[in-house]
Amino acid sequence: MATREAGKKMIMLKSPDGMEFEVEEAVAMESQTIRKMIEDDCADTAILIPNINSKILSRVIEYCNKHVPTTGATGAAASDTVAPAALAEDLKIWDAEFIKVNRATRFDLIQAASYLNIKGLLDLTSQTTIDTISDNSLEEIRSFLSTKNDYLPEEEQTIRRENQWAFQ
Amino acid sequence: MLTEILLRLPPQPSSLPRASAVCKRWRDLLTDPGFFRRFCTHHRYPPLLGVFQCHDQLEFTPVPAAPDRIPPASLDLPNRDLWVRLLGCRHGRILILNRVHTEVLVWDPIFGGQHHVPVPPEFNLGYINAAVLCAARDQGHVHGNCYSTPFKVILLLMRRSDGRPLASIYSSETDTWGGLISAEVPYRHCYGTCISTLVGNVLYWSYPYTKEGILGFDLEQQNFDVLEGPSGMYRCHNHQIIQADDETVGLEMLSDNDQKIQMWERKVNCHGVASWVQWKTIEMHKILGLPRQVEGEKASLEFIRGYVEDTDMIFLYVKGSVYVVQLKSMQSRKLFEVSNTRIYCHSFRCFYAPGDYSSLVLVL
Repeated sequence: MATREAGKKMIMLKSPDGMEFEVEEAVAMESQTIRKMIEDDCADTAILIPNINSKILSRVIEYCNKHVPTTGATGAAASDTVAPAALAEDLKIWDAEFIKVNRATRFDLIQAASYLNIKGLLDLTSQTTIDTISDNSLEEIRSFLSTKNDYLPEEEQTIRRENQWAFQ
Repeated sequence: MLTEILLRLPPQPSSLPRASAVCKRWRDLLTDPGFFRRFCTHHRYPPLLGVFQCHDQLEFTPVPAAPDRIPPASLDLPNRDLWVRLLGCRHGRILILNRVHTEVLVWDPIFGGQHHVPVPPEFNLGYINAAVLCAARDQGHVHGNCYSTPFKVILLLMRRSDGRPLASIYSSETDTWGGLISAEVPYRHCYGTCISTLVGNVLYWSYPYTKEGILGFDLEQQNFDVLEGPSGMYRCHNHQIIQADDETVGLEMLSDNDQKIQMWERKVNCHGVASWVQWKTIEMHKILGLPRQVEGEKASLEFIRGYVEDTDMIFLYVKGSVYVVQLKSMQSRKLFEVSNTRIYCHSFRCFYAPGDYSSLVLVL
């Protein structure tokens, strides 16, 4: 396993389209899937991340880089010197910018976050999707998520009647 | 991926029924009990669906605005001629006493589970208070998703012979009542209805006219304790047990003289000595949405008429109406008009799932 400045352990992540990303082990371990591989000693060489192309993987690494708990020169966690509320606010603003992507990229990020088991990224991407559609009509939701209404009209009516108050 | 997205639908009751009308695939997912369990775990805190109160008859008043207002008619209320006293409401279940005090009904108004429990003979005579709660022990269980979990019923009676509280616990797992548990000290002046508040593993009752403090019943240790109340509690007769910020027991008091809600917290120091600390005072005229006191007009009577456990919400009776008040945001909203000042609002919190769960409801 590679090591770089200040003794930080580095790890190589490889996307299926052949790109390699050298990242700090701590950053890679934001993914519970990769953490398990490292802990099980399955990460001696480069780790191939299947189904996640280099464009999406680089965004995921960018997210993990921002969210990994940082330590200062003294070894104290950054949160010891910066107020936790300020840190959280900074991350919130950063997340809001990060998630300004098109729908297809967002769905790819959800899939990547799900496979790599990165809870924060999964929350961010999925919640943003839900927030986008939750005030919309059923037709708009179907259209946004490219979902086809496969109910017969009477079947849909039955479902609406079951909890009519929810459709008012 | 779809599961991850839909888990984050808002916890409000209209969310899952609406989404289940999008397409069959969504419906299959959203009506799956495994998904519903994950949905509840994700949100942790069930939404407040409404309040039950029992004056002349058992009534449900939805609290949220449309489309999250579940109409009372869609709940399958029990026969009002037989079930006359609402004893408690917690973890999605209602506890009701029958007319002749021989049976209680544990009723799940959303998923439809009903369970009749005969009252032990020792409790047939005298005025009983009671509580119901979910008895799920599995780690990660979230209350509000209790339709298939076991439950407990706790009956409380003041024994006339020696003035001591008497309790018994029913477990749905064994379908039996435990032995009678008596307090070691008398506890008097506890007349009429008093609704319990659950803080941690202890049920608390603060009877309005008691001079002896707050009655606690530890569900794990299965014993009683009487806690000295904060100063002023014995004069105001208008108080409510709440859970204070760090899961300790607290008390709200409403004083008619100065229109203020005092909030007290019971702190125990490292030597085990308890003391009450007043942590907040709320001036009622600063709560948005409550009717103003007009100068020169006779002061109206206000009463605390209920509490939503684990939240900052209380119910206040002001000028002939009941309001739900959020104490942190100082917002309030009128729920209904009622002439009886003693009406008590039992908050009802639950997650709501589409589909038919009747086959999964606990039937004993």
